[in-house]
Amino acid sequence: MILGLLCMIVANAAVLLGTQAILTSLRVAEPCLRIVAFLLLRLLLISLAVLTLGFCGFLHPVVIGALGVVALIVLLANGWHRRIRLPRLPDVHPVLGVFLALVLARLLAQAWFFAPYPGDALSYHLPKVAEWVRAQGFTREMGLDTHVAFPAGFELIEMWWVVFLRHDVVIELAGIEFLFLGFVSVYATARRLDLNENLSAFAAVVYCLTPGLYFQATACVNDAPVAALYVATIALAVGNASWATWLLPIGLGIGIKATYAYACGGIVLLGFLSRREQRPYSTRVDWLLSGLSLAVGFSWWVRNLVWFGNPIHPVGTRGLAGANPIQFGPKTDSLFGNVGDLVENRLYDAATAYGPYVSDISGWGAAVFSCGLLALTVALREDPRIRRLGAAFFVSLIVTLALVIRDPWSMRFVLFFSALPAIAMAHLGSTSRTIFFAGSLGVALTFVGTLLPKELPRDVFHEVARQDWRDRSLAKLLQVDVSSDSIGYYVDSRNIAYLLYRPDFSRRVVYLRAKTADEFLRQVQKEQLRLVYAAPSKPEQYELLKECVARGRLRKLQGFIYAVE
Amino acid sequence: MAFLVSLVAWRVLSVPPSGLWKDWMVILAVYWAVTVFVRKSPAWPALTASTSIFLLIVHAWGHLPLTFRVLGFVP
Repeated sequence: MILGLLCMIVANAAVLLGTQAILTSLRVAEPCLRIVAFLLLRLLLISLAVLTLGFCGFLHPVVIGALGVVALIVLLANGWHRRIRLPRLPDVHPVLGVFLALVLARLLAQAWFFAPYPGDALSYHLPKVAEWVRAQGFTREMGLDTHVAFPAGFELIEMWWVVFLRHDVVIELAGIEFLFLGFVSVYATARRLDLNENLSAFAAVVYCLTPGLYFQATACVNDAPVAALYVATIALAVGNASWATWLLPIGLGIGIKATYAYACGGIVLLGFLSRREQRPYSTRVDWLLSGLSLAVGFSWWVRNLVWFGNPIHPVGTRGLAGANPIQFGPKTDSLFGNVGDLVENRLYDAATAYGPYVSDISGWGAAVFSCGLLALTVALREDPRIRRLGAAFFVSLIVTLALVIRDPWSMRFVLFFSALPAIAMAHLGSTSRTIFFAGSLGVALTFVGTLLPKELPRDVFHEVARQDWRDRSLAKLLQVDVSSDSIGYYVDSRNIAYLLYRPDFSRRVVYLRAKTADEFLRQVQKEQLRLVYAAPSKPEQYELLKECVARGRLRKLQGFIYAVE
Repeated sequence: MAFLVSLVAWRVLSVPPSGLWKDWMVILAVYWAVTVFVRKSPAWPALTASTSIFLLIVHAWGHLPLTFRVLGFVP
C-alpha cells in the first residue's frame, strides 16, 4: 500500500506538472478559463495514459509510478516547476467562503465514507474497472450486463484512482474531479457575463449543489461527468477560446456517454450564433490536443466496431429491447413525454428523495426551482448574452429529451441544464441583496437535501461508514460477503457483480454464460469454483439453476449464494 | 403578454383548481406579467424575493418530508 501511495503521488505530480507545461502552449488567455483548460488537459493526459497502458497490459502501479518518475525528471530538468503560477483564489464574501469550504469538506467526507452503491455502477461500470485492475490491462471480459460495451471514458479516470492503491476507497475522487470542473466552468461562464467573483462563485456552488449532479459525483456513475464536460464546453465557447480548443471537452465527452453527443446540438447553435466573434486562431498544438481528445473519445466506438461490428453495440437501429431498453434516434413521444413529466411533476422533486438516479424527479433542487427559474425569466428578457446562452441550453435540453427513452430516470441525462438558472440566479442576485438572500435560502435547503442519497438512508449509511475502510462495501448488507477467493456469477442482466470483487479486488469473479446444466457444471468444475452467485430472472436460466440444485450439485447457502457440491 | 395569457389559460384548463396556487408555471407567469409593470419600482426586489420564498415553500412542502425520511428524522 505504501509503495502504491508513493507511486500515486509521483504519477499525480508528473501529470500536474505535465499539464502545466502543455497549458503554456494553449491559447487561452483568461485566468479562470485557463483553469478549465488545465482540468481538461489533466483529464486528457490521465485518459491517454490509462488507455495506452491498458491496451499494452501495463496497468500496474509500479509501471505508472516509474513512468511518472521519468516524466517528472524531464519536466524538472527543463525548469517547468519554476513556471508554476498558482491561480488567485476568487474574492468572495467570508460567509460564502466558509460555505464553499464546508461543501468541499463534506464532499471529501462522503467520498471517504460512501462505498459504491448505484446499480449501474455495480453492474456494468465498475466490474470493468475491477477486471482491468486484476488483469493489469484491458480485458475482453467485461461482465454480463447488456450495457458493458458502452464507452468507458469515465472508467479511465476511476481506474486512475484505484490502480495505485489496488483499492476503491478513493474511487469517488474521479467524480469529484468532474464536479470541480463543473464548478470552475460555471464560474468562468458567469465571469464572462460580467458577474463579479462573489456572484460567479455563488452561481458555481448553486450548480454543484444541484442534487442529482452532486450525488452522481460520489456515486461512480457517468452522467455528472457528461454534464460537467458540457458546461466546460460552454465555458470555452463563451470565453472565446479557439475553435480547436472546443474539441477538448467534446472528445472526452463522447468517450464517456452518447448523451454528451445528444447535447451537442446546443453547442453547435452557440458556435453558429457566435461565429462572427473574434477568436484566437487554432494553433497546431490546439489541433494536436483536440485530435488526441477525439481519439480517446472515439476509441471505444472503434473498439466496438472491431469487436462486434457495430460502433454502438449492443444498440441497433431499432434501439435495445429488454429490461433496460435504449432508444435509437429521436422520437416525438419521448420528447413530449419527458418534457411533460419535467414541467408537470418532476420539477417539484416531490416523488422521491434525492439520489444519483433522480427517479421521477428533476433533481435540480430547491434553489433552482425557487429562485433559478424565476431569475431566468428576468435574465432572458434583459440580457441578450444570457438569451444566446439560454438558446443553446434549451436546444440541448430538447434534443436530449427527444433522444432518450421516457423512463423515471431520464432527467439524469440533462443535469447540465441547471447551470443556466444558477447563472441567472447570480445575475438577479446582483441587482438586490434581498433577492440574493431569498436565493440563499434555497441553497441552504439544497445543502440539507444533499446530505445523504436515498439509496443510503441514515441507518444504511451508519452500517457502511462504521466498517473498516479496508472492507467498506455494501456486500455485508446485501449478504454477499463470503469467504471464498473466487466465485461464479450467473445473472442475466443488472445486478451487483462489482461487490463480489471485494474493495481490494482480491476475489476472482467468473462470469458464467452456460445454456445447459451440463455446460454450467462443466464450467464451474473447470474454474474450480466453490461458490456461485446466481440470481437469474429469465425462465430458462431459472430452470437450469433448479436442475443443478435437483442433481445435488448446488446447495443454497444464503440469499443468492450457492455452494458447489 | 399573449403568451403569458395563453400559458395561464392552459394551466387553468389542465390543472385542478385546488392545485393552481402552487403551480410553478402560473406563479412564474403572474410574476412575469407583474414585473413588466413594476420592474423599475423600488418594490420589485421585495416582490421577487417574496415570489422566490413562496416557490421555496411549495418545493419544500413536497420534498422536505422525503429528505427528513432519508436523514432519519421521521420514520
